Amino acid sequence: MTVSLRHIERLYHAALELGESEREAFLDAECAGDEDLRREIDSLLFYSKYAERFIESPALATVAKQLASEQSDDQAGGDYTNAIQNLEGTTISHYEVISHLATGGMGVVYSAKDIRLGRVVALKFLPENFSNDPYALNRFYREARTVSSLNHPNICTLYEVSEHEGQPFMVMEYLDGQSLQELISGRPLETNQLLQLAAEIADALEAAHGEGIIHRDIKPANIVVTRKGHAKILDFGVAKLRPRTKIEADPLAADKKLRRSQLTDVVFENEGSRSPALTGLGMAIGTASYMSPEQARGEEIDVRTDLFSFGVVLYEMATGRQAFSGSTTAAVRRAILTEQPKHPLVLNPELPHELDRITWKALEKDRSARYQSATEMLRDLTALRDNRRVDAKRRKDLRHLFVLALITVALLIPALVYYYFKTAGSHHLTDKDTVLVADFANDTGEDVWDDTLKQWLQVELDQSPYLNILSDESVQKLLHFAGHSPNEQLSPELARDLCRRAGSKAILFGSISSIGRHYAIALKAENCENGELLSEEHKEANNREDVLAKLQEAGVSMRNKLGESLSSIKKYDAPLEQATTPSLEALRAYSAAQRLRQSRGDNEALPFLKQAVVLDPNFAIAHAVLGMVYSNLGDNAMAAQHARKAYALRDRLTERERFYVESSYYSLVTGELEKEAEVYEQWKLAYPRDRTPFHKLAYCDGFLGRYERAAAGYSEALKVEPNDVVSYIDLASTYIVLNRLEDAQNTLQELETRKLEHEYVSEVAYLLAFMRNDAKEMDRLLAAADNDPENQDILFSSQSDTEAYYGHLRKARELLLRAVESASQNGAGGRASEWQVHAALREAELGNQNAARKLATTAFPLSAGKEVPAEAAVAALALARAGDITRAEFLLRDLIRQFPTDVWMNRYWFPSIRAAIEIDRNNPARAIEVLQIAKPYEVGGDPITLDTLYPIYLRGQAYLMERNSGAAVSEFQKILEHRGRVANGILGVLAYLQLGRAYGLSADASNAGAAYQNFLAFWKDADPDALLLRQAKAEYSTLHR
Amino acid sequence: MAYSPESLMDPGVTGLLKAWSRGDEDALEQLAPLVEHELHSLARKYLRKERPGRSLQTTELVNEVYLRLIDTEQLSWQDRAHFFAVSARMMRHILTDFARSRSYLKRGGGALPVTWDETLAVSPEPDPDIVALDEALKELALVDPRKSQVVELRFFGGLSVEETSEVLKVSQQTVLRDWKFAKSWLMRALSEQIGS
Repeated sequence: MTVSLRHIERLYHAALELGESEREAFLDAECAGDEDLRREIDSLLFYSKYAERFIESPALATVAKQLASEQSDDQAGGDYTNAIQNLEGTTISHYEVISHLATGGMGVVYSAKDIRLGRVVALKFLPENFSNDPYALNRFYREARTVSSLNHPNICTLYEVSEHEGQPFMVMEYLDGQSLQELISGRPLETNQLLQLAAEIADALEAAHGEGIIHRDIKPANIVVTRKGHAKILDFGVAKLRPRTKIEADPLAADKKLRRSQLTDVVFENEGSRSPALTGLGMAIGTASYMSPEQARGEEIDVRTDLFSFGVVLYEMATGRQAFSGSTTAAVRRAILTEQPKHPLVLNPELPHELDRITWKALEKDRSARYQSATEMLRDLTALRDNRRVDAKRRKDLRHLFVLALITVALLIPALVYYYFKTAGSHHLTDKDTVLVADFANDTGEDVWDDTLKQWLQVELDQSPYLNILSDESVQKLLHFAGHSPNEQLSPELARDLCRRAGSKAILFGSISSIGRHYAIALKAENCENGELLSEEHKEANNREDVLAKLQEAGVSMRNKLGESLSSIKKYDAPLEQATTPSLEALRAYSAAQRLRQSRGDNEALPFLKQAVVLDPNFAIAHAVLGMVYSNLGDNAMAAQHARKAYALRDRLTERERFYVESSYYSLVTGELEKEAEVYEQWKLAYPRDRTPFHKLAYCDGFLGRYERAAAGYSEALKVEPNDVVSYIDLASTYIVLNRLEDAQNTLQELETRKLEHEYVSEVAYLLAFMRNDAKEMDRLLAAADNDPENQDILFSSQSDTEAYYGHLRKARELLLRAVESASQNGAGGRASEWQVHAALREAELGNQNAARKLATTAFPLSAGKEVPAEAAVAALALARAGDITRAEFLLRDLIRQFPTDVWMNRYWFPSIRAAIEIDRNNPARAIEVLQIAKPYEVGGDPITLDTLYPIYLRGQAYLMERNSGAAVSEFQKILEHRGRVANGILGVLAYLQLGRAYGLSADASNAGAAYQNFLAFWKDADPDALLLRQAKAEYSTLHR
Repeated sequence: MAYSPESLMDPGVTGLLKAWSRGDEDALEQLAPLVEHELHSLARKYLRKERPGRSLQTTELVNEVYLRLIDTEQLSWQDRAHFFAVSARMMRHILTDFARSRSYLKRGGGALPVTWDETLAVSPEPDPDIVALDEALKELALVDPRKSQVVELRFFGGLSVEETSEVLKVSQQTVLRDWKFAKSWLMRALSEQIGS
């Protein structure tokens, strides 16, 4: 207590000295503004009323008494004089006592015969102690009064109240039957009987409430079902007469918080977990399990309390089980206040849905959401009862018809009888059937389930190599063709439509709804051609955490039902939670990211992916995808970091995800191309429907210079997934490399037809245009780039290369600046430095060493020990070519340290950088030596990569230095042969110049001349002050000496 | 171990009390069976319905038991107060342990639906759960030690208001007020245990 005890004490005693009416005012004044204080005093005063005889008896006596009552069953904690215990056979007033019926809290009950009227009655005696207890007596007479004021066929009638030897007793209607409790005995009642009884109870309650009487103790033990099948409510002993104050006549007013001290009648708690304690404090309450929440809380109650209790009774009648149970009263109370029971329908599927609804409504914890009157409930119950009668009759009629028809048909056309019995048995999809997963219907109102369940389900179903799930890309395409936005929600109708368009066989619908704290998950597979139900799954989850597990179960079962062999399931089923993530929020972010990757691109998806791994740092697949995304965005360091993380977590993944993670690890972290390719080979075998391994394997092939294989691979990938934009791009670029320009054109055309978009589409189209010398097209594409501010830097850089190719160096530099600026502004910092170091290398080749050095060193800070990005390789080469050996070597060392296993680094860049350094040191032989290992890789690389063919060029240069004309010519010829591989790269045009020089060495004037001419043709508009232009012109002129 | 009138005022019990008050834990163990014996004896009286069921007589009987156990004559005036306090404390220990071990929780508890019907609500006096009360009393002691003592003396020790005021060296008015307040407080504490 923050308020001082002294203060509270003072107020407490002072208040007690005042009368009830003055007390209020006094406390109002003393506690003005201090709610806590007021609450404290009020509660203490409240209990003071009941504390009068509390612990007045010494502990010894108390314990002895408890001991005594424990040792004697008959006593039941009470003291009954013999007088009351043994009345059988005696005559009391004008009643002949027949038999002892029961002894309980309510007293002792006998059956007796009314001598005057000859009818059998029940005599109910008050327990002995109560006769001396004014409270109990009061209650007794109040019960008598209330019950006698009621006159209803479903309420046990009170005939009179009398006395025997000072012991009061009631004379009541004798009920021949059993209590509802006995009738139920753990089994649901037959529905018709249930409805009949329920209606009668509701009727009785309506009558009682109409008289201002709230029963307060509705429970099966207090309801008798007579032999004739009618309900009779008993024991209005704790019934409360509604006081006639205005405020309480309005049941809604009870919802307002009334202060304790205003309560006249109290529902008191009874902690029974340790001992029968604190009871009998004037007002005993109903049985724990049937209490309403407001009763449990000791609040002011109204008629709706009875309706709740009635709801609990209904529940039990409908299911045979208690709605709220527990091993202690505390547990029961807790259940009533905070837990939702299982829907009756779940426990008893035979139940009419309407009855489930009625019961549920009665069980609303918030009484304003409950039935507001017994009349309402009665109406619904009788309506249901009546409708069933009609339906039953109707069904009976129909059944007759059906049987008639059946017989007729059977007689006439035996074969057709078979088809009458339509069953929804399991149907099997054949190997080629595709399945469309529609969006999950989410009725819970909790948007954490949006997207995630579908994603989860897809992951689960994805694991099966026999189910071909229509990819998100395909779905988006379909949406597009159907005239919808790619991000549109898949309503069932739309989904069916798409399914048919796609020629898919089946469509999978999922839904989740909440029932209190439980969730109902349903999956339904439909044949979208004819709407036939293929399979259904229903699962119920107890709580949020359980939902995903249940969904997985449903998914497995669905896979099974749809015709998969069990062996397939066992092999491919990793527990989903381990495989993806136990965090719903993380999964949600991941789902969003994947969506965005498809529809908008990597940049958009990045923040969501980052969020996913923040929410769940062990979200392996999110890390792997992040790696890919960073790699695409040019941030290799981050890419590697995440790929590494994903790899470390690979054990908890599904097989498929593992393939993805491992391959990206080899790709982004170690650069072990061959190992990467191997993973893809395996992946292809395990999941022949996946386009990723096809695509990636093709990419690896391309990297390794195996372009024919790569092209074939991409084509295969496209067969599997015709809407994979990246495959188109890589295929088109591969065709360009192979100089199959027509094919490249067709591929790009296909892209356009399918309206697929990607940031590099323009670039590929541009390069194709370049290869075709289609200046107009190139210009058009450049102009169009203005409409794509996010990706225009790619084209600027490319154009910059083109300008340089033609010797327009100033223009080239201008465009480079624009490219770098644009990329930096868009946050594509990785690309900005990429353009810059590339330009550095270009300047170096053009003989502009200062410019080269400047660009190379400012591309990113060079400091010892810091991790340098992969572009540093280009920078190192540029520096080496520009004569800045110290820095070149410095960078090289760092790169070697950083990329010990990366194939591309080790087989392409390092040899190139080393060779360039050796060339600068005038060691051509050494240069040739170090370039040896590059041989298998020198024509390979990313199809759209820059600065290709360097090992060849440098070798050529080395041979030139050695004055080995033949060898040099050979190398530079190679470059020209691989025109597609170098595209608008500077080496492509410089190769002519070098070729000229090479031929010149052997004094092959004609070939040399041709070569120079070619070069000068390209450079006819070149900047006049360009170094190489002057050199070339001079050299050319000496040829013809 | 029957108590004959001669063995009443057993110097042994007083001696044990003295010893316990000086910190001898074993003494308590020896005392316990004696008290429990009285307890059972009392219980038997309840069963035989020898007592008509009114509190007044109960108290008298209990006083008798106390008197049997404690030779108050032996004690000096200063000792008296002290010994009352000690005996009340002792009673509290023993009875609480006894109640705990007897697990009165058997009644009404169990895995089946719990009902607290009025069967249990028969006594005119609310019978507190001794174990719970002991706990609640400890709580009260944290807030107001004197009130806790009042309860311990009166409820566990069976002392009258006058005797209590003597032991605690406060006025009877104070004892009454403390008693009243403490009862409200305790009753609330016991009720609000529900659900926690």
